[in-house]
Amino acid sequence: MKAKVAFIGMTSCKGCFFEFLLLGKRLVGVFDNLTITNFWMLKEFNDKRGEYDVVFMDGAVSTDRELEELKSVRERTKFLIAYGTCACWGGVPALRNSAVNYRQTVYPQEPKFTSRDAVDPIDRHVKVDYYMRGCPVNEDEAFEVIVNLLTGKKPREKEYCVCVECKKREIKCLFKEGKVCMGPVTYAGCNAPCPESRTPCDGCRGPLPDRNLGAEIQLLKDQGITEDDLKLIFSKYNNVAEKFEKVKDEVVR
Amino acid sequence: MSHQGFTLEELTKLEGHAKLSVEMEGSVVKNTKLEVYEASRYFESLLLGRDYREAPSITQKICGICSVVHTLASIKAVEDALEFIPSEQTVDLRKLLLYASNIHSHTAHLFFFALPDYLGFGDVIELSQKKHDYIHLALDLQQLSSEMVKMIGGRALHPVTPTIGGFHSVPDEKKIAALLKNLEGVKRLSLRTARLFSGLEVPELEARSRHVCMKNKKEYTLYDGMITSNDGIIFRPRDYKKNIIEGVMEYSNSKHAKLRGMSYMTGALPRLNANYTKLSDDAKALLKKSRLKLPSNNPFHNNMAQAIEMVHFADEAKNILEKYRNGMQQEKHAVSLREGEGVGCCEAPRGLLFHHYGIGSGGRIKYANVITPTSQNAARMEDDISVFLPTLHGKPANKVKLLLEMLIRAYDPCFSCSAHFLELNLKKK
Repeated sequence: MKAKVAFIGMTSCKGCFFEFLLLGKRLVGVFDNLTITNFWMLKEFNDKRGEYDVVFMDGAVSTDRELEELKSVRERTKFLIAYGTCACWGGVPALRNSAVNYRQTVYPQEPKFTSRDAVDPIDRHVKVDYYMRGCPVNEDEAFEVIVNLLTGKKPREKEYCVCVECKKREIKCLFKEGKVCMGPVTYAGCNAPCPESRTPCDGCRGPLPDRNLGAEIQLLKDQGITEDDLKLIFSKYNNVAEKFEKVKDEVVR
Repeated sequence: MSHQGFTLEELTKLEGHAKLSVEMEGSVVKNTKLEVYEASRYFESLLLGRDYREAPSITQKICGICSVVHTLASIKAVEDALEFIPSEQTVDLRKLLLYASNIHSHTAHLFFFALPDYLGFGDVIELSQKKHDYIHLALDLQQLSSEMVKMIGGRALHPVTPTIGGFHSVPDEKKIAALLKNLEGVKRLSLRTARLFSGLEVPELEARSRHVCMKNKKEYTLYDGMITSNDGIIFRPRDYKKNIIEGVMEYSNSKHAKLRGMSYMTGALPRLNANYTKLSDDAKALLKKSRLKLPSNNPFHNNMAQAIEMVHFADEAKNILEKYRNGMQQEKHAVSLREGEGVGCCEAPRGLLFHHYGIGSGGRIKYANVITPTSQNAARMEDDISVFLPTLHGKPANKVKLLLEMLIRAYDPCFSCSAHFLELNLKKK
């Protein structure tokens, strides 16, 4: 029997779904070899009560409705993937956790669908089996994970920083040029498309656990970056990531 | 009078989450509500206190599908506030990026969301198993157009090269040649797509709506111009607040915009109605042979308009690339910080998009407002349904559901953008 795979979305820009469609002709093989039970953007009938082999869970948790759905999906799923930076770290939606008066700023009166007070990454509420990071995710990584799962292998996360991929591709170092680059402290897996186009890494894949954060911060300070700016830079995608709590301490120190 | 009601629970094949409720008395529609229950992300408040240079890379995350145009509208708003005027090459490269990303977005919408309905398939997965030629056309075109976006923007989604003042990197001679080669394929497949869609029979609906788009004298514009309506309203993007009022609906996370008190349509059909004389020769020839007679007030024609636009955008992209055959030059962006307020407006694939910021001392953002195409189209979709539904009297319920979904899909809505799903609740009392 074909594996049942569901793509389920919570609070996000839906770009990671769209990124999956960039698999191009590989999609035909995916559709032939898997039963896609849920894919909001593509499918008319989505199985909301069934059991799944693999779930690609996109987005952060920002409403009670989403939290209920997340918990229910987890109970019916063998392998749950936090799909994209919003699901892994809270992402850009979690910036609202430190925004002031956000409701009044955007809606003069609150519409019917009220939000939870905090935007959370999904592992605050359920067990996650694999983290696919990135804003957006990389479609090649999504394909690799699917091939791994189809062949009975557990996919492995890349536990090194963006610099490794950047150096492998012999891209000229932007950090050395004095740019604010988050490559040294950020999870790899993207293959460094930003430095490739002369754009510094802004850390969208999240903080790598064994990074040398103190050195990064000192180097950035030496370049004249203020503590206020450092806080902005480190909070952009990872405002509520637990590892970021440490980042905040180190920044302030 | 008989009070009737029926409930249709779910609308899919859309970007984001929304729900439609219609109340009827006999064949008269009493009330139509498009409820967007996609979670709000309060984007405008996320920007407050952030550095002005972060605005484009944060606001591009409003939408995964139209991230290119959010990035560019955001950059334009910041540049407007800083009174910075970008170079000719920068503007050309931004237009090129817009053409490529519009073709990419139109391809996804036309084949993945719209086409299965017209061919009688449940969805694109079913279509892919039964219509191999169409799915290959869709996937090839999507790949070629997204590669173009990637070559220029650094990534296919959430582009990274565009920045305030210009680009972090620009295509050299080799890349321009690669883009031109890519574009040959895009043009050929866009022509096939346009022939396919301009031959489709669409439901009849005479909506008599206000159409609004950006217009200038030189070109079929996506990048700059005056905001213009089909009933004679014209204003500068900077004056959007005096003309467009966004209201909060207690039932929806998407705001509903009106232009001087009236609902309106924005997107490919209004653009084509207003600009068709400026189409490229190949796009004009297609239009002439199509079922589309302009001006059209049938929102279902939006899909055909998108398909014709794809051919035109491919031709325009070629003109730009040929102008820079020898490669573009890396320029220095001499942007200097000042306090100020600015508005950036572009045509997104699905219509007008406004970004508006106030920049305070130290370059911190102190005001932000974003009006997306779907929040502008939402009120018009409700009005269209009120006109369309009575004409469907006597049709079986599943047919009515399909036609209403097709109508909403024809607008190419993006509910993440607007708040950000479609579940259909038809109540007949």
